[in-house]
Amino acid sequence: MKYRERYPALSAKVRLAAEEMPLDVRERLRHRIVTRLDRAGVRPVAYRRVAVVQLAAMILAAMTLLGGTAYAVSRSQPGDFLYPVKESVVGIGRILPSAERLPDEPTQRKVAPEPDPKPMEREEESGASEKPDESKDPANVPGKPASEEAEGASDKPRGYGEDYYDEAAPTEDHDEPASGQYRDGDEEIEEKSEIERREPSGSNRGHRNGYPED
Amino acid sequence: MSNWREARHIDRLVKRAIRGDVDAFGSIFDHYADRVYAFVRARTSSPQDAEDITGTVFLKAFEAVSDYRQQGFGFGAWLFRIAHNTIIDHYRKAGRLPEPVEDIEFYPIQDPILLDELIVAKVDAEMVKALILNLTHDQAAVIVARFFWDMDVRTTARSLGRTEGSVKALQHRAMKRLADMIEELAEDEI
Repeated sequence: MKYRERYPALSAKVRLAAEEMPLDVRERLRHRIVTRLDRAGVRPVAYRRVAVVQLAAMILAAMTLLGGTAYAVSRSQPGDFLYPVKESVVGIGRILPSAERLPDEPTQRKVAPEPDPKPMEREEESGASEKPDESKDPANVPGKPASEEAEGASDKPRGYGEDYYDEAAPTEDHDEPASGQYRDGDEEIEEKSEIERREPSGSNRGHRNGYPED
Repeated sequence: MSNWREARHIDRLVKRAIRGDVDAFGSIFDHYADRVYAFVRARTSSPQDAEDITGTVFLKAFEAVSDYRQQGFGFGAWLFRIAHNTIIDHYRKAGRLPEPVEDIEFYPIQDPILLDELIVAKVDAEMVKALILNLTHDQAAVIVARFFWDMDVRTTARSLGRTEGSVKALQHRAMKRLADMIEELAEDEI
């Protein structure tokens, strides 16, 4: 049984004990609260917080759904509900121009070029005019001793760092150390000189490592 | 206005208040101001303090109104809880903590309140109001919730963060204490 039914007098007295707010106090308080809320700008803060939380929750939910769907599509097998989606994605990938076909794509430059005979040709072009001909006597060159000429030739090849650099080489990185740059070129030249040694010709006098043989 | 209509009306006002409508919150104030004031007044002896605390309660409520949906019970119960906490804060700041709450779990409801209704009839409401001030804070909160706000036991329990059993026990002890005090007063008069 409820107290107010069992003890109606006491319950009624307690209910009557509730003090009502005087009218003037009510008006004053209402005015104070509304003015303060308007002035303090509490409204935008509360509203913005709700809006930001809702937006974040929406983004999170969308990302989760999309991520889950993408994962399910990628894992789908023939006969699965999402497999047609996977197939269509693959089809779209085929239709779209692939990266290798694009003209400015760096992957195109990575195609291994054919062996370039340039270094040797260049050497011959530039070096043949200056290099002393073995058929001629070095002593016949005016103003230059033969020993000096021979020393200079063996000391450093002409066009060192430029002429023997394979421009068609896969790498275009000029920052690479010099030793790394010439290693490939040297190997090529070695191969060539070996071929030349086996099949000597009149025009090629058998350079070794790109340097004229003494 | 019937209960469900009132609840729907309050719901609409709360939605508008969440969107920042100060006028809607003004209507909410009109609806609950008397009850909040009565609760605060039952716990404070000064009308000025009661006015200040009531204002603080509504300001706090407006600032936190966007969280109201998560509480899971009516707006009135939510507002009552804010009022309850604000009164405790007020006493704490004043350096005067409310009386310690009795551990009601150790006081099962056994004895009925023995009180002559005729004696009660002689006591006026002003005196009862003064007697409520002598209750512990939790007892007074339960009395206010049950008799001033017309909240049921379940809602009172949820708004105070207690079990229904503890609310019943608190109410019983509060009523018994009030009855005892009234009897004492009546004996003194005789």
